[in-house]
Amino acid sequence: MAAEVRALGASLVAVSPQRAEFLRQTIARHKLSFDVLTDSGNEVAAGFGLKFTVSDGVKKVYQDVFKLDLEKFNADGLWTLPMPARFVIDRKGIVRYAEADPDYTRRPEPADTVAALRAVVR
Amino acid sequence: MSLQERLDAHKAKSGAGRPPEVRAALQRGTDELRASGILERVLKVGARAHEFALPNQDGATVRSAALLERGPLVLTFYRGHW
Repeated sequence: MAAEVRALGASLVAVSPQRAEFLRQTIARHKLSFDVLTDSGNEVAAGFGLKFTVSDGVKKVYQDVFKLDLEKFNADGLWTLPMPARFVIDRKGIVRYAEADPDYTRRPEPADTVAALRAVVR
Repeated sequence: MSLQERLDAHKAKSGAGRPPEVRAALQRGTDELRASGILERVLKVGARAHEFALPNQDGATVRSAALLERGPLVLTFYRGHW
């Protein structure tokens, strides 16, 4: 998707609450060609309506079963996360496409995001 | 195969190795998040996105205003490398 986004004259940026060292891991693992930003405490995500606090039930599963400790990964050491989402923002700063799902196992097709971007660039 | 088909296949495979109470707890988390009404609060088409300035993986500051001067912005939020 990154190549198509660039070919349309747009930027692509990913945002997560993680410390820089984990952003670098993400980039290396997926061979990303775009910037990944640290949104400490999910404050920018909150501005997009995405921030939530991990429930005790899920926190327990993450810690006990997956040995997943957000205190180590998140820049602010807290158990908040962004609901996964994608936005296309035009040059006036207006949202032209917004997609979010509380179910992190569901993702839109990259082609859908590119199609939304094409409509903005047209 | 679409992205969602691949994700569903991955979910079925990795979920198969997990105890049902783990899968149930994760599903409950998703259901609670949905029930909280968070989707209604997501910034909508037509709304103005707030400007932001955040550090990237190398510590350099990236400003949305600078990116938008050059063209539209595709912004994706994800939970983490895990």
